[in-house]
Amino acid sequence: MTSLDFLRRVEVFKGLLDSRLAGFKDHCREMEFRQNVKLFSEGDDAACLWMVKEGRVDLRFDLPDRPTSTKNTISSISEFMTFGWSSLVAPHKYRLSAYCATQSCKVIQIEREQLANLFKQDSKTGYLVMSNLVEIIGQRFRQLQDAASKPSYANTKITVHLATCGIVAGAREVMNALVEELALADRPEIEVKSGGCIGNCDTHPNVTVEIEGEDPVVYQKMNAEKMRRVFKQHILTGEVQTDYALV
Amino acid sequence: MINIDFLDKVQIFQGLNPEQLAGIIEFCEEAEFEPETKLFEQGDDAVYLWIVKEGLVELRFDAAGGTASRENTISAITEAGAFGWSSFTSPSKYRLSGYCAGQPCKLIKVDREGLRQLFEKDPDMGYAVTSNVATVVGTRFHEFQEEAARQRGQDILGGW
Repeated sequence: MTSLDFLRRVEVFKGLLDSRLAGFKDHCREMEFRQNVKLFSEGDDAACLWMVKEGRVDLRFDLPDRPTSTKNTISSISEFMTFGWSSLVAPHKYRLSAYCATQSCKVIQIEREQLANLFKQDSKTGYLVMSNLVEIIGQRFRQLQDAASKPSYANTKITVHLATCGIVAGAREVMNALVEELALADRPEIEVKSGGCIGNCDTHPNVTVEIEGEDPVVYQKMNAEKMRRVFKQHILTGEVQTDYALV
Repeated sequence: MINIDFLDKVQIFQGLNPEQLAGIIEFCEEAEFEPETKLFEQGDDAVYLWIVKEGLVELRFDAAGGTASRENTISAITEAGAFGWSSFTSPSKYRLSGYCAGQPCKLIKVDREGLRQLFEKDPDMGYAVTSNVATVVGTRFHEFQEEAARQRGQDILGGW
């Protein structure tokens, strides 16, 4: 059962009085999906507007004969956010595919036809919802423009050398810090992997950064703090941290 | 002179009746610009929605120093086209700079606050116009998103 409390916090319903929100309650259909399940495909008729109740949904482009991955994610939708707004905008076709990106996702859908009827009966509600929608599209447009102006990280690999000697020296802490920074930066397309010993046990923990078109850089005697700095300065802004590099 | 027949051709006013269009005229102001004149600058308060009556307007991003050449053009708006839809979204700042391009431009500036007042009084009109704006903005967003997806797809397929 979808509560008014939840609907009040949904971005597309911002500013609506409870009396107006109540009109949506009866049309909400709750659904739950497991990780990597596809909610809809790009090109499908956009029959519903969707909201995330729990978890995260990724909007991704599909590539023929390739499994989906976070590398294909164009945007991520979390709690109280709306997706599938093509349902409210002609020609009413989903432009990306939606996947459950967390262990499970609870989502709510409302059919386009039901929304259209509600707006027809109460144009003030329609006006407020469409104003919010314009706002949301504008925000996502700005985010997409900002993301597009940043360099692509699709061909960036970071290897944390997690051999026994590396683990003893603290390589797991380095890996944990890296994973946290990756999540904060929302750059799922950067490839992170674990590797073996590079044969130089005195310099552990070691981390190798490979960026296409540039010479690989091996960092030595890393810790969590150094890893965070390398991530922010080298990976995100291209400045090799020579202080830590293995010569 | 701004007339109802012209406003009726403007995409974002489609579906409005003559009385509603007449209401909008109250908040319209005509302005003329010479070629390469800057209409507004990115970051300025988006206090107007703009409509091209004659000529061509280019929306460009400013390079360092506040200058923008035609190479920096992101989109071009022709007769009956509207721009400056940032006026409908917070923080109501223009995201690009607007330039009169090619020949003298005749433009219509529609006061943002005036439009809001009209929509509050007449929600049918507000619903119709914001739906049209969502379609225009949504179409531009989808075009941009498809280009971003295409580039990302090429990166993946051409990856090592």
